[in-house]
Formats: sequence, C-alpha cells, structure tokens
Amino acid sequence: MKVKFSDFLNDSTKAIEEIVTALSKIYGYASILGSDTRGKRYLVTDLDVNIGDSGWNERGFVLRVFNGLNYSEFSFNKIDKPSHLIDFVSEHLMKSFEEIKNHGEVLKCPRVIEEPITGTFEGEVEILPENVDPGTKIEKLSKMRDHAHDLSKQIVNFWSTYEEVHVNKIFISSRKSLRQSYIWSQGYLQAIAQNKEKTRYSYEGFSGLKGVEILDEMSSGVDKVVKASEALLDSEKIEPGEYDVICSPDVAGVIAHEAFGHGVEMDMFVKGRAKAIEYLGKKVASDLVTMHDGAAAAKEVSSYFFDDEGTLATDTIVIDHGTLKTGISDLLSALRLGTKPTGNGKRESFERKAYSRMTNTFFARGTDRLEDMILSVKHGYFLEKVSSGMEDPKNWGIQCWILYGREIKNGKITNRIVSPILMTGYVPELLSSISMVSNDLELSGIGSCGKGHKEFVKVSSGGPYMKARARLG
Amino acid sequence: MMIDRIIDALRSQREVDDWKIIERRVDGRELFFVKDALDMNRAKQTQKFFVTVYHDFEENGKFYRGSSEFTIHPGEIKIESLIKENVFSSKFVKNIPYPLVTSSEKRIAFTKAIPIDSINEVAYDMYSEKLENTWINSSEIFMDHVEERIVNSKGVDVSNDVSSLYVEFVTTSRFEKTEVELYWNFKFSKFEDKVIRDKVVNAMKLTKDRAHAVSTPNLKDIPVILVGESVKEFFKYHLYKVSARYIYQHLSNAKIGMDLHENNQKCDGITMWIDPFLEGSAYSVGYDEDGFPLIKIKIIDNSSVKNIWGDIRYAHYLGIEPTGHMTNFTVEPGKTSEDDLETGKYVKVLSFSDFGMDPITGDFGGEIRLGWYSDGKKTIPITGGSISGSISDLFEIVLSKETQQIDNFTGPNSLKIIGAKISGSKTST
Repeated sequence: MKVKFSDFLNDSTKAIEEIVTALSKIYGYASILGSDTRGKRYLVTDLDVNIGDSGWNERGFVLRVFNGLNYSEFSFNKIDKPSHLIDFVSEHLMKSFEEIKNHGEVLKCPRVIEEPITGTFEGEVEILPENVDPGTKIEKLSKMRDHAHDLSKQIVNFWSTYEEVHVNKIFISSRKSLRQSYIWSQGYLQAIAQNKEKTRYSYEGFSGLKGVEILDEMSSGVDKVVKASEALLDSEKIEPGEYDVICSPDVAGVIAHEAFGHGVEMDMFVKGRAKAIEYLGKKVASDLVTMHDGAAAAKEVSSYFFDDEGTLATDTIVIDHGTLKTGISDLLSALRLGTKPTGNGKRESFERKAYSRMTNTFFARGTDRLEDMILSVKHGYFLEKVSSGMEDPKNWGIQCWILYGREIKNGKITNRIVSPILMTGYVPELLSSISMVSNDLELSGIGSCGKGHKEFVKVSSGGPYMKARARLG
Repeated sequence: MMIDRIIDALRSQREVDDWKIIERRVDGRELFFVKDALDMNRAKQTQKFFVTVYHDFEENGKFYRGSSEFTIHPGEIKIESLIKENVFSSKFVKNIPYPLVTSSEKRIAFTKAIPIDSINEVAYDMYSEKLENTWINSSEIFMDHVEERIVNSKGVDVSNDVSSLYVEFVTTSRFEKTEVELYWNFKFSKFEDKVIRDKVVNAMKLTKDRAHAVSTPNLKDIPVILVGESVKEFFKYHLYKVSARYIYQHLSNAKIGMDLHENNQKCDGITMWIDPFLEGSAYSVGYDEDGFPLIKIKIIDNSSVKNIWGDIRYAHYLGIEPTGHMTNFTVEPGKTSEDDLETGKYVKVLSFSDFGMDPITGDFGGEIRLGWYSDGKKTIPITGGSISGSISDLFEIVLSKETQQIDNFTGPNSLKIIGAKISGSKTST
C-alpha cells in the first residue's frame, strides 16, 4: 500500500518557499529541509507494557544559507512569521559568524550550484501501521513472550519490541523541490535467562522497509533467541588470541561498517582524519572483498530517495575486489574536495548538523558454501550477534563487541560457547585475511550509528558469511 | 499559551484519568571547526510538549493503569484527536496500577545559566594552547539553555532550568611520518576557561604519547589500571545493580544489605551516592521527569547495598520509598595514591576506543588506544590490543585517593584491577 505524504509538511510548503526565496535573495543560496517523522514503539515484557513515541520522531525545519565564505544553519520547529526567521538569521547567525571571521580563520566552501529538480517519492508497505489497532500489535507481542516461557523455565524476562516509523521529508531550495514519504519498521526480541550463578541474554532483530507485516516475521525468531540465551548460561570466557573465524552476516556487517564505512566518510577526508585517502586506488583487502554503501544500494531502513541536503540517493562501490575505489560524501565535503556528492548527507534530526554518514553498508556475496567454510576451520569460532562497534578512521583500529562465538573444531561446530567476545585488530590485516565468502546476503537495520559518541542515525549493514583470521579477547 | 490549550483538552476528555506534560524549550548555539578554522556555525530554537495520558480500568476482576506517551509540536491543530488516539492505545496497556507524584514544593533554580552567546569565547580558549607537532584536528562546541516545566493532573507544576556546554574534539600528533589521533568530549553546566585549556593541554600531551607508542605485547596475569572515563563506565555496574527498574525487571538480584563484592578476594569498599546537585554537572536538576523532588542519597555503603534507587513507578512496584530518577552519581575515593598503584608490573590505560561495561552481566572491556606498560623497571607507551574481563572474576579492586569529575560523575581518578585479560596486538596501528 502506498505511503501518504505528511499533511503538516504540505501545509507548511508555502511558508517554506517564501522563506527560501527571501533568504536566497539576501545570501545567494538558501535551502530548507522539513521533517515530519512519526511513529510508535510498542514494548511488552513479563512485567509491563509500554506504548510511546518512536525515538526517531521529529517535526521541524533546518535552514541553511551561504554566508559568503561557508554556510550557517538554524534549526527551528515553529513558523510564526517568515520575517522573524529572516531577522534571526541576520541578527544572531550572521553576527556570530562575523565575529569569528574577524577574530580568526574560516574554512571556505564554494557556493552550491544546483541542477533544477522536482519530485515526489512515495514508498510502499504491505500493511500500513494505521490500519492495525494497537491492541492487535500488543497481542502479537504478548504471544511471542508467552511462547518463550512455554519453551524454557530459565527465562526470567522476555522483551518483545516493535517500532513503526513513517518518515516524511521536504527539501526546498531555489532550484530544488523534493518530497519523500516512506515507512520502515523494526522488531527486537530479547530473552533473559538466569540460573543460580548467572544472568545472560540474547536477541534477535528484524527490520526493513516494511509495515506491520514485520510482526509475523518476528514470531519465527522466538525459538532461536530462547535457545541462545539458555546456552549462554553455560558459556565460557575466551582465551585471548588469534583465531580462524566464520562471521555471520551481522558480524560481517559490523566489520564493513566500522572498518571501512566510517573510514571513507569524506568529511573525514576534509579534516585530514581518514587514513583511507592515502589508499584510494590501492589494495586494502583480499580480492574476495567488494563493499557497497548507498541508500539506493539495498532496500533496508536507510533506503531513501534523497538525503538531508537534497542529493539523490546512489549506490557507491567503496571496495571493488580488494581495491579501495572511493568514499561516501555529503554535499559540503564534496564541494570542498571537488568531488560528486553521493547522497550520504544525513542528520540525526532537523536539530543537528549534516555529516557524511553511512546508509546501507554491506559486503557483496561470494561463491562459497557455508558448510564448506565451517569444514575448512581446524580450530576457531563461529561469531554471531553484534553488541556494538567503534571506528578509528585515522589509525585503522577496529573494536567490535560480539555476543557469542560457537567453537569450531576439526570442521564441526561443538557445543562449547564463548561470550562475550571483543574483536580488535588492524583493518587492512583483518580484511586481507578474508579467505572465503558465502553466496548469501543478509542486511540488518535494528541498530543505529553514531559519529564519535553522538549524532545517531539509522543505518543497516550486513553481508554474506565470511571466513577471516581475527584477534579475539 | 499552548500548554494551557493542551491542559484544557486533557481535562475535557472523560477517559483521561490522569495526565502529565513535560514542556521543553531549547535555545542553542553551535560552532564547528576544522583545525582552527570555522567550518560552520549553527543555532537552534525548539519547543516540545511530551504528554502522557493514563487510563485506569478493570478486566476480569483485575485493576490496571494503562498509559500512552506522545509528543505535541508547536502549532499542532489536532490536539484533541491525538489525545483520543492515545487514550485508545492506553486501553491495551495492562500495567499494575502505580501513583503519580503529587504536588511538590517549588524550588529556586540552583544553576546559573551560561549566556549562550558566549560560545565564541569557548572557541578562543580552546585554540589558545599550543604543543609542538600536536594540534586540535577538529572540534565541535554546543551551548544549550534548556527550560523544562513539568505539570501533572495531581497538582505538580515545577521547573528545571539547565545550561550545558558540550565540547567534542580530536587531537592529532605527528612523529616522523606517522600521525595519530585521540578523541575527547566533555559536558559541563558552567564555562571556566582554565578547565577548558587544561583539558586541551592534557589531550594534546596524551596524543603526543600515542605517537610514540608501540604495539601492546601479549601479557598474562598483570594488574590493569583504568584511568579517567573508563573508571566512570566501570561503576555503571554498581549503579544499575541497585536500580529499582533493573531489580523489578529481573536484570539484577540486588537486595538491601547484599555485599556486591563478596566473590572478589580483595576489594576496596565501594561507597556510592546519587546526587542531583552535583556541582558543574549539566545533568543536575531539582526534579525528575515525573516532577519528583530530588535529594542526595547513599545507595552503596562499603560495597553493601544501602538503598535501592528508582522513580515513583518502579519504587511502588518494589514497595520501597522512591528516590526519583537521577543520572549524577559519585563514588568515594580510596586510600591508595596513584603512585602506590603504579608499582611493579602493570598496564595503565589512559584511552580506550570505547570502554564498555555490561551492567547486567558485569562483563567489561575495550580496545586500547593509549596505555602505559611497566615491566617493573621501565614504562613504555602502548597501543592496540584490548582489556576484557568480568567483575565476578576480579581478584582485587583498588581505588585511588585522587579524584576526578567527568560530566555527571565524581569519583576516584584511577582503579587498579587484577584478574582482567589483556590481548596483545600483533601490528602497530
């Protein structure tokens, strides 16, 4: 079913156009991004139920003007009179800019020159969130919880979460008029198991450009998450060292994301923070490795038609058979570097600055079979479930917390489980060690991505199963 | 005023048994620099109303309190239909009944607002310090003034007024042909130029050390000394262990009087407070989001659980007195000096990529970005590899007597632990 565009943004369009026209006359370039993202989050646990706003909800605007040397921005969520906004820009933004300009340096950025484009893009889902009442959603989540308890007496709490998000955005400048409306949803199952000594948990995630239909997919994950959390009660600590590993698609995804996703965000090129700039056109990974990023590269939670600076989405091949080809870029970084923006200018919300950010980041599929990959390991681990990761674009370190690893001995998965696992290493070394890549491809978008320790945006990542040599601790 | 329109609409709905509104206004200024050149300046002015409707009902002889939370934005014309929609949702939320905060005494704001237009001064101070072959690669400065009003159907009408200065910066150092960097951030409710300059100088010195660091060797059975941010993260295990929400949700088994370190052979007594009035913290507020008036409370005394902390709902579920929800916490320092902690062999970690503590399992760890390794005779800077462990596996925990403040935490500057594992790095990064 087609997703309907926001009434609020429709009603605000005339005022936005008026402001953009007035500011463009004064400053030579002006644009406004308007957002109306709304959704609900439903949580059912053993002990309570919660219905609240999605954490991704936002409603407001951000205007950008060319100040003569670079750009100034103002985020707001109230349009009283357009003249008030225009006055605020000159009285506050420009005053602060002029003071700094007179005191020190300003990093110049060329003025945006745009090709004219207009368009409305609307997504589709099977079942629109407004067509299913909250009671049905809560009932389905409750059934998953109850099923988990039927499966195991060691489960002391079970959380089932469903979140539906309807994104509406409008981008207006003197030559662009774009609007988009789409829905993504995600689900999360978490089983908490306990015995006399330990509390352990595992999770299963579900995501996509989907509506309420995702609730039916979630039901299929209950058995797996319950078994995994029970097994973790018997988990051991891993002996630190270097091991052969088989990475599941979500672990492969976090490697793609942390290792070369952050490393090729081109605002880092502008800052001189990316080691990757020295390696463009050079070998950085095994020949088996091809890596994509792009809102148009896959259909997942970070698929959109245009980014938060009005650049249309693309599919960027970052690494092609082991060779680093290019980075991913926001508009202003591209202007400074003299490159083409790739549609990766994203904001946490209208309240924040736009940066070069990842969208859907993944390794391309290979030709190996998973069974053969496991058979090829003498002693190592099958790594599953990512907890978190952290980038180091300048020095190419990588840190990934992985929930658990299943031991592989002489080509067979044993009953021994280690948890948690901290995978660290030097990015080119890790990527060069990739020796087998399966013919699968799975993406997951249940998490979010920060830049440093803030600026959280929705992303997805994934890939096939991959065999590598990794340092685990 | 818009809040009055919302209150009138809530009062007019028969099925709304109780309600709560948090009105939040933010006025902010932001500066972004690449090296010392201005990349962008920004401003922000927003207003939001976070509304919760409560609906009480009975089903099969059981009483429930349903609720639904939603946000109203300025200029919203469908207030009544939003309320109706959320009252309908609340009928499917079958929670055990709990009370709201009743009328609280009003307090005078205890924080002095930072004038947000002074943001340029922060930038000038940050860039006033110099160190050979070392510089600020980039920085982001945020100054916000947040006014919050909490109103509910039981007569609560209180306010918080908070100013914050948040700074994030990256320092780079060059040694021969190699450049290395370290990432930093801090958040305060006040602007003190000396504090900012000291933070920048310290960051530049440590980055210079990283430029000379070698790969972390493989080491076994060596004490680890955590310093700075990782110390705060380490104590999150203790903080959440005694939270009413964690206990109610079976994520913690803590009980009053329980010794949290009974399994550790040797451990300095840990004494922890939650403190709403922590000087300099941008998280210091007089009231929590329910409008509950906050006071300083000791939650752990000499490693023994003294008080469970939690908001009015989870405290009610556990049958204990609420403390309100707070984010500031303090740990009393130990008796050992940092010089005495640094004896014999040890690895001291000054910067991690992202040190993490899992408050449910007590597992912790992170990749080393900068540390010092002492073999008992000489110390060398190290980088790469990782530290990992679990609270229950530690033989020894010693707190330094020197203290630090990081955002919403005050406590020991260093923490020596024995029983964590060190994974060395093969290749220098």
